[in-house]
Amino acid sequence: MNIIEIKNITHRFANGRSGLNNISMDIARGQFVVLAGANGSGKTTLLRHFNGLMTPQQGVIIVDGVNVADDPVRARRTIGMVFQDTDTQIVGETVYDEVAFGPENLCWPRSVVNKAVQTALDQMGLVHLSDQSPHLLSGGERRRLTIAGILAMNPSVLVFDEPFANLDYPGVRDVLRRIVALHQEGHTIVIAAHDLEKVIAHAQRLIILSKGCVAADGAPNELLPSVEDFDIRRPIELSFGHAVQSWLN
Amino acid sequence: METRHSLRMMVFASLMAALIAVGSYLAVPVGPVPIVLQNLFVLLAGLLLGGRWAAASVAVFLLAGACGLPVFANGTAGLGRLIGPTGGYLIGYLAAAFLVGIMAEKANQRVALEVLAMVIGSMVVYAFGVPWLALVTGMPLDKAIAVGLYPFLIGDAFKIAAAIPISRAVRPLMRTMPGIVVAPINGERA
Amino acid sequence: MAELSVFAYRQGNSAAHRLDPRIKLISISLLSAAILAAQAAGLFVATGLIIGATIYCRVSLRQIGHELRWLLFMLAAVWGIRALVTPGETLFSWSVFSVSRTGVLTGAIICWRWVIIIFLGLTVSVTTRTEDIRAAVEWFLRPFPWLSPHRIGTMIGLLVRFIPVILTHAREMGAAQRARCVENRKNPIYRLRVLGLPLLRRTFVTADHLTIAMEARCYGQGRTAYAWHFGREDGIVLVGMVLLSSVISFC
Repeated sequence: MNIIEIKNITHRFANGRSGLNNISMDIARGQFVVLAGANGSGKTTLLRHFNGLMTPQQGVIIVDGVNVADDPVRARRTIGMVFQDTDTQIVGETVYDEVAFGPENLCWPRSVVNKAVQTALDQMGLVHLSDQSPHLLSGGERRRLTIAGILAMNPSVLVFDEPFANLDYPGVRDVLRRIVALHQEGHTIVIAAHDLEKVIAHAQRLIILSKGCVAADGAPNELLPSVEDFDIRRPIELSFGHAVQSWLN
Repeated sequence: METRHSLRMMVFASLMAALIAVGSYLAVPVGPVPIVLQNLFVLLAGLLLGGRWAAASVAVFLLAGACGLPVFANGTAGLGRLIGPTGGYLIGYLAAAFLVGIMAEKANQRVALEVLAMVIGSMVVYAFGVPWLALVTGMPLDKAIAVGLYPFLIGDAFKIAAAIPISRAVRPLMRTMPGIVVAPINGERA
Repeated sequence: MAELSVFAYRQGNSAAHRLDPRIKLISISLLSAAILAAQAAGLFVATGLIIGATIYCRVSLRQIGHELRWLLFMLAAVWGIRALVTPGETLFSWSVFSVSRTGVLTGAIICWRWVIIIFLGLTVSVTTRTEDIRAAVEWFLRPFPWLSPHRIGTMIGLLVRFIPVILTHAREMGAAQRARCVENRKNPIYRLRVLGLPLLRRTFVTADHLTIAMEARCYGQGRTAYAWHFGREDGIVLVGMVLLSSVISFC
């Protein structure tokens, strides 16, 4: 069953620049999807249509059987979205408050909020930092905090926009390990990236965007040899005739 | 429900308040008196946010400080700062931000009127600050003016001159959200 | 990493940390008012209280002195001016200056009051989470719905959250500009513009991203209510503070 269905959406910006051009795709429940494309290919614009942060001029988006335009709040609960820049999405003054922000917006009772926050902090390994100011965390910890902030709302889909930006090697491995674990727990994962090497070994499906259109869509192994046609770097292992390696090994 | 526009203005005003708080740490060392950026940001809040939101911005800054959050210069907080010798200037910021804001809304980006608005705004800060300084220290008013007004006038002139090009450059950012067509969200839909 | 000062909240589980934040705000307001009305005897009582509280909060006096050096300097100046300009019985004089006895005394009392009130604010800053102060402010504003307490609470939260972010950014920017010899430019208008503009531009872009991120997490009018925990200790402290304030103000 498809959790996200996108039917012929087109989005044009106010300045006339074309953002998305007649895009259609279905994402199955539990799938691990990588959305790749050069900067400006429309990745972020497409993601923001998933939960009604942007609305298309044409076409519809259906999340879990309901049109997003009819109930954006429901779409935002179903789809947890982690943005690229950690500094500009953290709202709370402490780690605890940051994770509680979403559940509190949903007006859950205090005891339920506390439980959801504890579970999310535990999943992301942040329990010991719960009274810390987010500003004092390391890059990897801050990225995990943004993930905990949406996990607390108990979404079924997790969408990441460039989750590995500005992370060092241990930070990348740490975040990747947790994303893979979340997928194994049954979450649908969508990762937007301009750089495939860190994540593609775990993906079940690769969608390539180019100039606001879907340029290719299929199994990573089939698409990888030709990704350079769309301004995406091919993982180096392929040049030596090897299969792509997971960064977790 | 919050509309996107009012949510956005609220976030602007909050961050402007944070900028005003940080402004007491930022100075350009020119001449004997370093030029502190705090009141430049107060004037800019008026120019960019308009009267209501600029006043809200300064009010939130003062309220947070009065209730013990460390937002005032040197991280101090509490009523002590507001009733201290320089407390009058802080209260003056509130009136100044509001006045500059409503005058800037009427000025419609005419430079002369915006400059006039900021001159009046700066004077309002001293109209609150200097008498309070005199009262607290027991100085006669003319002495209070000599230490609490004259040394800052040149710096204020520079700030007003700098505020005009800064506001010109930032205004286009406020008009539209980058890459976002403002769409009806939540309960805003008709 | 930038923290504004030693006066930021410190984790802990003391009685002062656990006290209901509304009681803390009422207490410091009462005590501040009492101290403004107090004379020397009352100030002695309050000073004892403050010294106890500072030791209890484990803030080092050396750090406080360092952080407050400008403020103390300002207070010393106020005292000096008071001593010089207040007419009265002359204590000693030198050329045109004369120091009056009443000036020295009233100046000392005034400065003493400020120091105590500033330390009072400090004890609250150090022992109270922003979230708690914010909830208390929202609670006190509840009788005035046209002020929309919920929105004011959110704004206070964002203000506190973004002070260190903006400060770090400003310092980085200043360093980058000094690395390119901005100090050689003597025109103050130019200097103000190159310091102010990028800061402001970045702040507004941040605000846009933040708006989207808050919407994505369903920010709206309603929120889960803050969990108040008004207990017996809070009641006792409140009564104690009322009594203490009246003692201080009448001594």
